[in-house]
Amino acid sequence: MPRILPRIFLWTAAAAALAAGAGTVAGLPFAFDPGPDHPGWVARYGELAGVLGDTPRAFFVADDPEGTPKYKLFRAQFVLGPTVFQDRSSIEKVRPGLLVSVPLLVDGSSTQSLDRILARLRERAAAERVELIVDRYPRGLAVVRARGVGG
Amino acid sequence: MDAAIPLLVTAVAWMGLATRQRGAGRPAPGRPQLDAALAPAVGLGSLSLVYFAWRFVGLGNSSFALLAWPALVAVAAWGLSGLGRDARSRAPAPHRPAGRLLAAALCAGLLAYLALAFFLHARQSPVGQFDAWAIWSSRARLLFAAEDPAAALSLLRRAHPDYPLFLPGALAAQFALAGAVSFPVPQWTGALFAAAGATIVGAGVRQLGASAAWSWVAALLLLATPLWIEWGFAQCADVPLACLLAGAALALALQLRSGAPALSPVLAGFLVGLAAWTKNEGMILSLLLFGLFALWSLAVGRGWGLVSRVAGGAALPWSAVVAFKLAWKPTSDLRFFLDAPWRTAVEADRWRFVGASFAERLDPIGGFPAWGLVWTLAAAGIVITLATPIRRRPEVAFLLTLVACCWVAWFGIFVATPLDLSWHLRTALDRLMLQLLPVTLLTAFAGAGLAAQRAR
Repeated sequence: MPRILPRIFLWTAAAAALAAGAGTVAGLPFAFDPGPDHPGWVARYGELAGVLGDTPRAFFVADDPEGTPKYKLFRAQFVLGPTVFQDRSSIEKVRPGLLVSVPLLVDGSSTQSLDRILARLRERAAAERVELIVDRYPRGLAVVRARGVGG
Repeated sequence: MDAAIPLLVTAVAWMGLATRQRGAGRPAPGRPQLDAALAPAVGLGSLSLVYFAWRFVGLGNSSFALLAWPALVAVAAWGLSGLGRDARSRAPAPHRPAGRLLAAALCAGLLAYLALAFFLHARQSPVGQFDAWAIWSSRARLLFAAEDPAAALSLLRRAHPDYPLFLPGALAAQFALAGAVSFPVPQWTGALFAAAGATIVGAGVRQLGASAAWSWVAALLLLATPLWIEWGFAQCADVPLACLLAGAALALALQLRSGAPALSPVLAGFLVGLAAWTKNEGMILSLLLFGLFALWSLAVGRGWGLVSRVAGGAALPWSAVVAFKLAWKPTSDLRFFLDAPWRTAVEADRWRFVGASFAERLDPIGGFPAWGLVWTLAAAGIVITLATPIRRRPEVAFLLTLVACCWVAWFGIFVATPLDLSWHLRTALDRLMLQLLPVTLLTAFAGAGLAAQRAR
């Protein structure tokens, strides 16, 4: 192998590292933009749960085909998580669907999608003999409480 | 203050690794860096295993903290005293002010770079990326908070309840030490592994015999890779798994060199086992590491003794994986994979689509924004290695076959996946390639660096 080849390779690699490093620095999130993963954004769930005057609890609706409410509720569960699971009775209440008597928090991100989500939740609730109590808030937020109605 | 916990655990592990060399005189070049590189994996991995065992037998957080804090302090004091004695009895270092100054300046620059990236990512996403809070940190919180962790973990049905517990266990143990769930703990744990990956690659290239210039460039190349930095601060398990794969591969390769190995085979085995304790794909990597090492070890006449010592080191983490899977019976989606119609694997279109997706990322122009030129350079380094007799050295040959098998395995997983192929590639391919990045760079730069020395 020519002696010069490894040297060319090494210098090329050093130059490429500098170029990629400059690109990496340029791509760092210098402008602070609290995205949907930021707990400040999620704190609204906590405030809403506080409004209800209940232990903050939230569960995602399992097997939700659209995914959006699951995502948001799952986040609420994450932020408020430990309080949920310290209570063993809460664990036993978790079932697929809406068979829980705790507040559910739905963020449809827009009024239109919230309407669609609520319509679907009502359909499922009716099928599962569950009554829904919906409190709507601005910016596509709603607190949905589900209550079993016998059976 | 909670940020000090992962740093303390790592420092204690580093002291433990360094004091093992007591009485050996001045450490070999790159040796202190190698100990530092492996310290997060060894320290946090050990903590994760101990915490899992603690919860497995039904003990709680307060008793864990009550015993773990004094143990950490005792090991730290023992390590400090040993290091102090070694420093006093050691011959003075050879005087090389220019090289030391350059290395110190590079280290300072890299630390500033990592600190900036850490600060900005922690400010933007304090709980990490989606997978971090939806899977890894959630599971850590459940493990920490639940009275019955086995039942609680299975609740998160969409959060891979059957993934082994290296990261959730390490985080939950640190929550127990802190006395509460803490945001800085996963942030700093992730940052330690992001830095450790570069140190493993750099120190590993040096340990395998290449010069310091090759070791520095390899480490810089890894740290400069945009996706390494993005996922390094994402608080997920992919970067820790990448570190474990590279660390275990290096430790095993060093066993195959002539002369006394720089690392103990039991430690090498422990790292192999910890890879399996990290994720389900880590179990595949762990088996590949061990299987290939056993073959090479026998091929070069090292016999079963060495293989059995490595297996002994891996036994503890492997046992934890088995205990977790069999006793806690987490809801698993592996059955979905195993029952998948494997006939899809013979469809030519799938092979083409998977191949195109890999090629898109390996492309030096199209893939540059995410990867820089790291894959092109790694490929060039491997070609240089293969073109010289260096490829016949057992440690190099082991690394080359390991890297080849890992890439083939990852390609095969996507060809056979029962999930929607384009969705699976879009969401997982970058992360799986990231898992292979440090070990591929280590192989390429160690091989090419040795080839360069030979050409002189």
